[in-house]
Amino acid sequence: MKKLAYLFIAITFIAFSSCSDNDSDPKGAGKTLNYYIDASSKTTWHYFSLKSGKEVGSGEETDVDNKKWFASNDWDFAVCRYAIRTNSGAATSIGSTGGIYTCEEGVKFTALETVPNGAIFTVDKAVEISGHGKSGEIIKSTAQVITFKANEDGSLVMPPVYLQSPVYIFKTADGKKVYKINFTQYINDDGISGHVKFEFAILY
Amino acid sequence: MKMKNIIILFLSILISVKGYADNPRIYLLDKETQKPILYANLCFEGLKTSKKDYKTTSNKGYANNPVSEKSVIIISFVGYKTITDTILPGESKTYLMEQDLLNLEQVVVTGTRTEKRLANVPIKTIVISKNEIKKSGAVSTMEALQDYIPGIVTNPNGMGNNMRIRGLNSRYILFLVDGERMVSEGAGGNINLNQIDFNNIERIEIVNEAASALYGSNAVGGVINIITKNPIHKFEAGANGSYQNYNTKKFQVNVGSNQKKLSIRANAFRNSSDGFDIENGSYAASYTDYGTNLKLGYKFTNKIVVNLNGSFFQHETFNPDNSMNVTHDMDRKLTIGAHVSIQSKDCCNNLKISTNFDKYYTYKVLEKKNDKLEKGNEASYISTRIVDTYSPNEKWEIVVGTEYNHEKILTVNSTILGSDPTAKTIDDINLFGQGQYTILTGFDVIIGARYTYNNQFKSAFTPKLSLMYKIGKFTFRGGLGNSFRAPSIKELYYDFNHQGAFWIYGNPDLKAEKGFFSSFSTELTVKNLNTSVSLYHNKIDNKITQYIIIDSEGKENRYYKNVSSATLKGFDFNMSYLFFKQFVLKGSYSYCDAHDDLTGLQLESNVKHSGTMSITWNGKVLNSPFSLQLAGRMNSPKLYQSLTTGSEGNEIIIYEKSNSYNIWKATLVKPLRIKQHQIELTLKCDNIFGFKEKSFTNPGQQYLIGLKYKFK
Repeated sequence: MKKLAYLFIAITFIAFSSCSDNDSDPKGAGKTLNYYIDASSKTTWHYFSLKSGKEVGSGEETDVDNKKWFASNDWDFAVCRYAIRTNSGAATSIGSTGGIYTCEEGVKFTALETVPNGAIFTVDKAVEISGHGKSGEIIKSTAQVITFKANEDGSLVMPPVYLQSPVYIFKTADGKKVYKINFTQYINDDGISGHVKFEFAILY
Repeated sequence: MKMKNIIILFLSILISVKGYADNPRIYLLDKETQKPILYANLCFEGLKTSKKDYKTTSNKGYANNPVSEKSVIIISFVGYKTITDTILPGESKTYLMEQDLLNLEQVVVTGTRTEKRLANVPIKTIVISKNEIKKSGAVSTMEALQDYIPGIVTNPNGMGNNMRIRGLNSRYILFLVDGERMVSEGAGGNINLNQIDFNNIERIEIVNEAASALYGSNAVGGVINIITKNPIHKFEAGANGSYQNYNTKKFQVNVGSNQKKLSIRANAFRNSSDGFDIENGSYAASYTDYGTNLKLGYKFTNKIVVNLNGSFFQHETFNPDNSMNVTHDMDRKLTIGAHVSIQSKDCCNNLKISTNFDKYYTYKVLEKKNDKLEKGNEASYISTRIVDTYSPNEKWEIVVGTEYNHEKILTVNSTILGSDPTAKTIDDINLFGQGQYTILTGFDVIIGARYTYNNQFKSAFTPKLSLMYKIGKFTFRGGLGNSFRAPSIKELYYDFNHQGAFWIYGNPDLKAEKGFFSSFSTELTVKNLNTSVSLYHNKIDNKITQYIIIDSEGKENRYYKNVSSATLKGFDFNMSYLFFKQFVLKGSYSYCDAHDDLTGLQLESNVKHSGTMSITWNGKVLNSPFSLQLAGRMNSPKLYQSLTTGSEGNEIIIYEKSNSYNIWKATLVKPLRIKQHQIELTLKCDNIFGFKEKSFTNPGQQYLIGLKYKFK
């Protein structure tokens, strides 16, 4: 009986030891976590790590700051008001393989358990921005934190109507993990825009 | 003549004879229904002494004959043709009044600031009467205007109707309520016509030409004057309700009394709608409006009358169901006015002193904080006026007046306007005068001018000349006049973030826009046909225009400048025809070329060809009246033409346009009267053919059921 007890302890120890490799367990694995980012500045990107479940830093929309963050693998996505950046494509100088998949309309966050077959993760690119007080080129994802009600020609309905965005699936910068994310707030209770809240959970 | 008519006439004569024996009386009957006409106006003027006297028919449809010498008697009543006759002392008479289905006997005030019959006013005026509104099934002021004025386009938003006529937005049209400037977010700003209690409209008068000589700023493209109801009966009350698709509900109650000296009318309304989405994004917001109005009049003597009025309006627009917005907009408006009218003993002078005060508030409603209100900005407007009308004889009518206006806007929330809470004001003082001289019978000339001193742009002088010549069945009218539009406080001083899209910066050096208007019209009235053609030319200089500069950070900024000029020219055709006694055919067509002089491009949203048409059957079934109307409005494409600068500095002209459209509606109105109670049922099918277009905020076919109750 004693032997059996020692064996059980040994197995348990080995089992726990095998989990603590270099890639530590993602924070809140299996749970849905919520996070808030004050992204109300028009020029500041807030960089977020899905694995650590927190904001890991911020940078201005300048060549210097962008260069620094594009050379890092520590973040998975970033938010600047209603724009998203993922650690992929034009937003990486070290070949990071993040990206974003936008789920089809009607997909519920709670019901999503797997990555749909054939899902293609889009990577960041340089996008020409006009309107919203800004005109010029910016590197970002083509996905938006919040979608806007728009006319057929793409112009925004006035006054702007912020719509619930679809559920997104994000790949981490190293391409190994996949998370589902649902953005639940863009405007805070005082009506100030850029106060972003989201819920997220690991898929695998 | 039908047997029934003979009997009624015989009875009338009997009544007349009896009346003669007791007290000489004047009886008024409706020619068609033979029913007594109550509260009609009688004016008597002695042929020798020119002594005047006035009477109103009683609630039984008669008035005593007051004359002591042979006199002219003029009988008038809304909706009936005016009768002119002579009457002797002690004589009793019965008059059969004929309904004025073509509306030519309507008394109007807007063109000259004095009461005149529509057929005799030297300034071409269009009138939409309450009866026409009723028969069209319209349930809003905007709908009534669109039914009768060709070329009106509207893209309503939270701030107002965002209306355009002939490529000119509402800043170039002066909106009045009972002759007082209607303001919302400030004088010269966007106007929300929903602040008007639609069921309280007596008539709408439209002067489709410049009128700054009488009214000052903004009367560049025309004047729309909404005349509200006054109490007529000793006691009257009513309730109105209608229901339309998209849960659009409108309710109104009113009560009034017209006593010998005191008159009072109060009404309250609530309108709401769930709004609707239309394809391709555009939508009409869900809203709830509340409003109340009070009119109080006291006749100290026959010559001195004081009127007080007050109104409150609240407009709240909500977010669409799928929106993540957590705030929505609300605005409130309060109006208080006082008017004193003093007539001289000889009735030659009529002095009117008035003051009107408007206060307007905007709020953000914080939905996640128990609908807490966060104040946006405040606007106030005070207008004080003294006007004297001097009519020494039948040939002359002189109007002179002075007016002082004070406007103030206070921003208290930096996220809405400007970077700091601040207040800005504009003051102007005005002198104006107008003389109408009848050279020959049917040949009138009007000369007028207005001088405005404004503390911002300094001065404006706007003279005008109008002529009217009647020969046979023709009436010719012509006019020339200057007009101006003062820059609004927003255009002058405020830097504001336009819905997060770009910034607009005020320019305190802006000058007033100046217009020069000329028109000529011919009107022909033959028995049951009234038709007119008007030609016009309107040149607007110093036009205030936004221009875009992209700054070094790539941000889009817009500025105002007096940079452009525009020319509007075209013609209008109007026609009314009464046939088979029961049918009225109305039609209008308008052609308008409204272009920017520098680029030659059409002004935004101009509609070159537009028209309206309606046919109304005023019928009877089993001696019970009803009206059935089919009405349509047609527009050629709305034009969007703009000049922009390409990435290489090259000029690019963008030509865009909507589809052309025609919208038709059918309305059945069935009144039912039981003694003093009147019930009216309205059934309407709007947009019968379900027209939808992305630039046209309309969800397609809609149905309305309305019920009115009136007690008098």
